[in-house]
Amino acid sequence: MVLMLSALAVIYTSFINRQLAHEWQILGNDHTLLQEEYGRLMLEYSTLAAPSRVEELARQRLNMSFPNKNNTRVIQLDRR
Amino acid sequence: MASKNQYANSNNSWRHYTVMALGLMLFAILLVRLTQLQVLQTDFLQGEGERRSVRDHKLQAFRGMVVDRNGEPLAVSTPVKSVWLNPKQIIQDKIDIRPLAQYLNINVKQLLTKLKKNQNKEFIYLQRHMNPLMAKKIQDLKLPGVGLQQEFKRFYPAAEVASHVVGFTNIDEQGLEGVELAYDDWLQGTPGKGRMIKDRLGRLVKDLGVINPAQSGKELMLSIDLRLQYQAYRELKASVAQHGAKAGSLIMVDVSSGEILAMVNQPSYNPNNRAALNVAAVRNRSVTDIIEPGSTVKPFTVVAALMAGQVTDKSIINTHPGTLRLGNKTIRDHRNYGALNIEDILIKSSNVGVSKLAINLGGENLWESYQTLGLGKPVGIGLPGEHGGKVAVLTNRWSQLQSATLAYGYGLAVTPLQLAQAYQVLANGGLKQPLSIIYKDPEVGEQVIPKDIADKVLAMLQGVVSAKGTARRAKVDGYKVAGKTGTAHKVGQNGYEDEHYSALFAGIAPANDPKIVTIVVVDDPSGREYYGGEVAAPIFSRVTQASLRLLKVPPTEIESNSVAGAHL
Repeated sequence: MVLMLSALAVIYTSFINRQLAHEWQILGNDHTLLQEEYGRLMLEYSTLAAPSRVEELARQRLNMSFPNKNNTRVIQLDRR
Repeated sequence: MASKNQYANSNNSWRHYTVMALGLMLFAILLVRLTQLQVLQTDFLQGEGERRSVRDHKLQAFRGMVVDRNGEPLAVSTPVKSVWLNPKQIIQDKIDIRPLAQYLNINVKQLLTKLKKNQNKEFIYLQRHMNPLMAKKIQDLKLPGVGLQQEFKRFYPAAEVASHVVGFTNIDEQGLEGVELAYDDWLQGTPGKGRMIKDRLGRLVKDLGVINPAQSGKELMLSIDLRLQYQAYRELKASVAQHGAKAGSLIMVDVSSGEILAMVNQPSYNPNNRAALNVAAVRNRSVTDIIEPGSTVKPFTVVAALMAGQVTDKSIINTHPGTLRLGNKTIRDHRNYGALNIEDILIKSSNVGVSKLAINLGGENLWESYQTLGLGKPVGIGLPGEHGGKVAVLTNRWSQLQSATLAYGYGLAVTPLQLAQAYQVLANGGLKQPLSIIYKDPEVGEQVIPKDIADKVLAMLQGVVSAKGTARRAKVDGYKVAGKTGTAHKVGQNGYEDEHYSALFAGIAPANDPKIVTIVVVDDPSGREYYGGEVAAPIFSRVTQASLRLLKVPPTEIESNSVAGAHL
């Protein structure tokens, strides 16, 4: 009787093992895919946010420029 | 039936026993063989069996990213596919490779010759690092003997702006230059191992799972700030082009931590496109090349003289008549400055003045204080190819001329990096923080100059940037800055060359509360301007202006409106 029970337990655990292994593999695949996408998005982001590009857009499209001495004011907080 | 009866009836027992014995014998033989195979040789046979079916395969590990101090990516690995062929199989099975050639846009004839040449091999790469879309098309062809392999390609988003620091890897992702080489072990992952059962044709039967999971490489955070790096790169590039210079370097250091915020060189290269790679452009000049620092070391001569206590900041040195004859060489100033105090010696960059200080001090003492500041000693930053620099050998008998030349920056050769280290000490109240290219927690520094002396010399250097100094063009709107110019004759095949110079500027900003030290070196400007104050100082001014704004350092030299705190 005990033998039978332990045999069934072995079957059950090996079934769980297989199920978890399968799940792990799927998650592993997802992980790789997400990592791929992350790398791709990182690249895309850094191309779009490259300082040279941002500067050019700011200057040409938005007519921005660096502030100079004459249009800078320092505002100090009075600490009392 | 008759014959059976005949057997049974004839009680001829020896025949019966013979058959029995033979049968038993055969059974015994089988048993022996069975034991042999199943018990005695089991390991060997099982191993052989597995060798024919169980296949281990490599699980690719990601190489770690390199990022700047704000997390902006500087080097990223992205997955790509490589196509491989089995020439033996393709030739034997006469597989039609024409669609493959068409997709890859290569000549069928060329592909065939390639196959012929490698007909005894079972693996050659056809094309490496293809984009995933193309790879998918090839996979869909399902040609036997053609396979795809997952690989990674390294991309450098900052391209030529940070290439000297970041470096690059080869096609197999092994570091070849820069931090990619220096921190290769840290960045590199350890490939894992998976196991599966495959049939003779390499088709998957059963996946036995992972033996060792792949260990991805670790991320590396540099001390570089990409925004500052970009500003520095842009200004240096423009100026090197404007002055027709051969090369240039710029290093910016965070004063309190010793971290390198920007390190750029000209000429540079794009690590993403190495087809037209010029070897000379790959060198990280600010680390590997030595220059004679010229007048930029004069502040350290003054430091040494003040530390020895032979002069005070109030002392007056007579530089009349503007020349000083030592042995058969004459040291000259631009003109006769007469009697100068220590500050004016630095402001006018008087060679005669510092020579007199050095002769009083003795070359030996000067040599030692250069060493403690890190001049002529490797900084140990960890980047490949760092040059240790050269300072004249320490002797017991320094001639006056040797001492004097050391004082105004000849007879020693340092890297721009070492100069940055020395100015970091000066700007940080004498507290030396070893320069670092890696973002890390600050270490406890080493006090190599007394704070009061460092602060006094720093104050003197503010005069250099004033209207009466040599570096008027280093002025930065809204901030107090300090610095020292330098112009050194380059060493050619026949000693010092008359027509070739390096223009230098070492600057500290803001001077009242130092945040950044910047070293600018422009090598061999070919235009009419070649002085450090004309070529290097304006670069400092522009880069510092932009950097202080990006670092959110409030300007002090601008009319300020006081606002009561309660209103905000």
